[in-house]
Amino acid sequence: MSVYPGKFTGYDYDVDICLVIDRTGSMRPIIDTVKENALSLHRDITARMQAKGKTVTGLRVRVIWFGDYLADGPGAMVASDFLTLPEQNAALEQCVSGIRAEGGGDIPEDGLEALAFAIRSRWCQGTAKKRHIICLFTDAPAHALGFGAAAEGYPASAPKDFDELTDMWGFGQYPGEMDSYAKRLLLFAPDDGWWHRIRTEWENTILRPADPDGGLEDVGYAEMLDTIANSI
Amino acid sequence: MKLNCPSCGARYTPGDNFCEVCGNVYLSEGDFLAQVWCPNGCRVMDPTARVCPSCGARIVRHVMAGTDPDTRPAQAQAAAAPASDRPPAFRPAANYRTPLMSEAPTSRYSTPKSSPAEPAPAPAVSRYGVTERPPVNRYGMVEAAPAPRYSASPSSKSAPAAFVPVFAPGDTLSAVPPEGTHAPAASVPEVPAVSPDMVYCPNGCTDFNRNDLFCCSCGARLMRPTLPTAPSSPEAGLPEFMRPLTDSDMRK
Repeated sequence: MSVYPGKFTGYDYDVDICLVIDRTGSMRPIIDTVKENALSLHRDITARMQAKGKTVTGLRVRVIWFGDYLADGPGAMVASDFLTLPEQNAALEQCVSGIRAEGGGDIPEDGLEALAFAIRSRWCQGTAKKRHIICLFTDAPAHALGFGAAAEGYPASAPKDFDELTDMWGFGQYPGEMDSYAKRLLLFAPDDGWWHRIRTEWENTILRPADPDGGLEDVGYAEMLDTIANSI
Repeated sequence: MKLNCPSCGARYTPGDNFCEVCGNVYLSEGDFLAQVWCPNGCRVMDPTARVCPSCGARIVRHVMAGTDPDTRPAQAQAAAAPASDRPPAFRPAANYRTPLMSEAPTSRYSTPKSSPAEPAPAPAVSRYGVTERPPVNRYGMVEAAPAPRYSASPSSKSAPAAFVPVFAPGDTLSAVPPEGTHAPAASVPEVPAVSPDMVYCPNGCTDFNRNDLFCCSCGARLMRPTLPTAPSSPEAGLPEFMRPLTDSDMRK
């Protein structure tokens, strides 16, 4: 039964979630959380949405793991395509369980490049009400864009600076590359440096502050789910 | 409890992060936007709660993006302000950038891009206009400066008070070896080519036991270089549905 009696009903949502996860060694706690719950992600999100009187008609999840181009080379960023849940639950579980928390080099990571990759994901374009959610997890500050440009495998088409990345996200009257009404950015990151700037300047963005180098150990699966469900 | 979105007026239930209609991040506690988190991960529905209704933990409250009451009026004012006075959010110029701490070189990879490398410090010049360089031993290591044959100090007992050493510009003290010593060789020990079983002393000694950790002659830690391994394919070891992201994924 809905916990929101009387709340409007009838909204069907096509939801795309892009999980962007720092895969360096210190992130083991949150990576383990994702691994342990990958199989139940669809069930738990739909249950929470039903409790709010909303129906998720389509749920796709993409995973991007990021590190540091200078330290990790061409394999710094790996990703899946969007996986349709629950049909591809096993594939999602395989994607997340096969990744080891390692690498990264110095403390900051190339999180802004990973965010750019996420923005340019192939989001669903149906006629139903859409939610395009980027959920980024990191306990490290981000390098400036282009920091690893000298490394092999660095994408030449990556935004050259933060302004260009902001243009991709959109601001004010400028819609950016994602659907203005569908996009959401949920940051689980330290509230400093570039992440702080994104929190204060970008629209449709919330940041859950993380302890630097703490691996988001204090972020439980329930909190992660609530944040996503409350943002749909 | 129902609240109204301050941006579009749509009604919403506390707990949602964004407005259903306009995507605005929600207000709570009057005109103050905040996100509430239970540190134990409990679901907190009441944005005005001070303690978690489930576990009693003190609620963590966090100001949301673009909603800080201190910055909102400033943004509104800045919209009408000259471009030079606008905050970075308005980005008046394509190349406008606000320096951040995160841009400072913090890693072993980075060097300041905007400032050229600092020039090497000029060698010390003595009062006689002679370039002084500390002598080095045969391993290229700096040793304590040897005492000159004749002191320039008037109070020295080794030379008359009126003695003034004669040096030609460009002469170096190291060119004048102390009496009874040999001129130091200013060469750095040559590191042999890397091989899988190579052990070498960083000071160039050769009479060490290759199974020891430290050189028995000079006490330095023996070096066992790690051979570079052949770079593996980025796809190697990845799960079936994962692949490295390339430039084609970044293109529109």
